Amino acid sequence: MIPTTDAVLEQLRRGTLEYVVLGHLEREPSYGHDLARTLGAHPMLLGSQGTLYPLLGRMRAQGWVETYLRESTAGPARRYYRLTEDGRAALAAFREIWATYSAGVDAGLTPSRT
Amino acid sequence: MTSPATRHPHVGAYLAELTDRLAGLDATGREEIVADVLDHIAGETARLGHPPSTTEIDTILAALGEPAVVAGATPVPAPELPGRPTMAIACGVLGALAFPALGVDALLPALLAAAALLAAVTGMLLDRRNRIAYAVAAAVAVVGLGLAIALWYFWLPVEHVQVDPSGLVGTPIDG
Repeated sequence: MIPTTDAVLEQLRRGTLEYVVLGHLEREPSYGHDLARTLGAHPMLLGSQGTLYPLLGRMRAQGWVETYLRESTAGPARRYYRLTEDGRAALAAFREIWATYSAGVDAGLTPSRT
Repeated sequence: MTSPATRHPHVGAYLAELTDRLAGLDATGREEIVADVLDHIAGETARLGHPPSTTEIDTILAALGEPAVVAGATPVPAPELPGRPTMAIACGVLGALAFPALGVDALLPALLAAAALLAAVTGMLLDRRNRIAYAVAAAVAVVGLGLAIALWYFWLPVEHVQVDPSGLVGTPIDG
């Protein structure tokens, strides 16, 4: 059986998307909708924009992000997400692993020239 | 955040289905996800710069994903520790063994019912996923225990039993 593109992407996202979110939040705290738009610009990363919100909920439950309200000129106060120390540590650990892991994957996937 | 757009019936239906599908989450987690989704819809409609048509609302909802898909990305409840039903049964067995060990010479049916009750209560505490089944088992065990005690008090001939003041021990006098 050949897996569909969606199935492959789902597996890849499952292990990486939360760290991509942590990376974005490390640069600056973000409003959920803005984050969804940023990630949504890369359809490979986020299939359906709505799936971001349960992910943020899980990350908050894990203690990797926290929320706070920030006043908005466009309407009611918005809930922003920012990294916690645990989130920062998780991101640092993932970065370290990812560098080696992705190099191994690239090496393994490189077609033979013979 | 509410706006005319977020009060659109399609949005209402979407949020209602999403809420239903998030029923497995605790109330706070569910409300936060729904609030974020509602903010998202409000944000998307605000970007349009005009009151959205039904088609535009539907496009926004489609980009969000089906409620089932969004709910499918919810945190998976922590898996139950393996062996919890086994642990509950083990507690029941230990309870059954503990009664005689403590010198309580109860009737066998009462002993078994008490052990079953102990196992069911332990199961309710440890195996929350199956707590309804354990609650039913506990209720059955309570009824069984009651019947066993009733049997002990009312069916056994009193003159053949020397009843301990605690009411838990009955020793036949004449073997």
